[in-house]
Amino acid sequence: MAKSILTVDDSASIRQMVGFALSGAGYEVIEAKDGQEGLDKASQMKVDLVLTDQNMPNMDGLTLIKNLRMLPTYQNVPILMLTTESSDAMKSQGRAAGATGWLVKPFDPQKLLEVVKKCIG
Amino acid sequence: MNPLLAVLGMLLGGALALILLAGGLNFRRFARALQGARKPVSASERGSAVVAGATVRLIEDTRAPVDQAFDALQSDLTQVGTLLKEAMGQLMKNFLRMQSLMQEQQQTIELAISVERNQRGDPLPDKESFRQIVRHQTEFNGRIEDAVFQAVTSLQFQDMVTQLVGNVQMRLNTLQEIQQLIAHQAGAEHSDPRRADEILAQTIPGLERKLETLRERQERKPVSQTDMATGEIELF
Repeated sequence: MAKSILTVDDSASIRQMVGFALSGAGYEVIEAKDGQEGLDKASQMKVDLVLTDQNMPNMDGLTLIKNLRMLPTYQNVPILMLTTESSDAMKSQGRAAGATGWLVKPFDPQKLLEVVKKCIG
Repeated sequence: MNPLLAVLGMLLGGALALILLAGGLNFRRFARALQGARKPVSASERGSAVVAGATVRLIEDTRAPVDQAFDALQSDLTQVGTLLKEAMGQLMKNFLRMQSLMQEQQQTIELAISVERNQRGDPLPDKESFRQIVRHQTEFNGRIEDAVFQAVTSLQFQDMVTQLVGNVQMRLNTLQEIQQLIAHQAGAEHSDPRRADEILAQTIPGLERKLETLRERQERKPVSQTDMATGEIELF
């Protein structure tokens, strides 16, 4: 059974590009357009990895991570931030919230795939 | 007060308020006009400056942060321009590369057809020629994939530019709100100059909040990248 990845980003083109990069390697990619939709979808199913943007309407990435980490099923699931934010302060907040890693946009599809493989195989 | 100056004051004050209310982002023009207007004609007329001193102080106090905001907005727009230029250049380069690779692939296919034609009637196929074609084909596929991946990286400029533009828009909205507060102040002082300080005391807290919002939005830039190079990766 294919491993599932939830990509949360308010940019449709970024979600499509993440899908393009990961579907080809056999992952099932589920999309959510903001943190709230991401939380709803993650609550309804168990995904193997979450990839989230930071700046989004309704719920930002850091809040999504904090909410996911409160769910028992997501305490050990890798959650990666994929964002244009790159300040040390933001990264520290991400780490404190429970992020597994920080990827700064623009991303290279091959490198993204390598990181995902490293996290969930 | 000299009645002529009073009329002139009303006209100038009204014009200044109109500049603020009608002009999108004419803060700098307003500040210059205000400075000109407040210059007294002579010492005896000092008390009849067009706009009350309170508003002038307000303008002076807000000038530095508003000027900083304009400079930051200008810098963001320059960043947008740089990102767009670089992304478009890279996309064009990648698409041209893909086109050239497709042409090479076509040549390989033509070579395969010619090899096959030459070998008709020969019971033993030229294995080395076919191996070479397969090698070329595999190499082409890898190069095409690289070019597509690079194009995907460049295409992400849209997301970055959208975020930068969104941030610029929020700051412009705040600047406009600051303008409206000052315009309200100027208008109220003209209607009732004796209550100038009281009106100012009501305006200042709102203005301070807006300036603080402006400062926060300037400090926290959503996009730090100034080129389209792939971003860093850090696993915690």
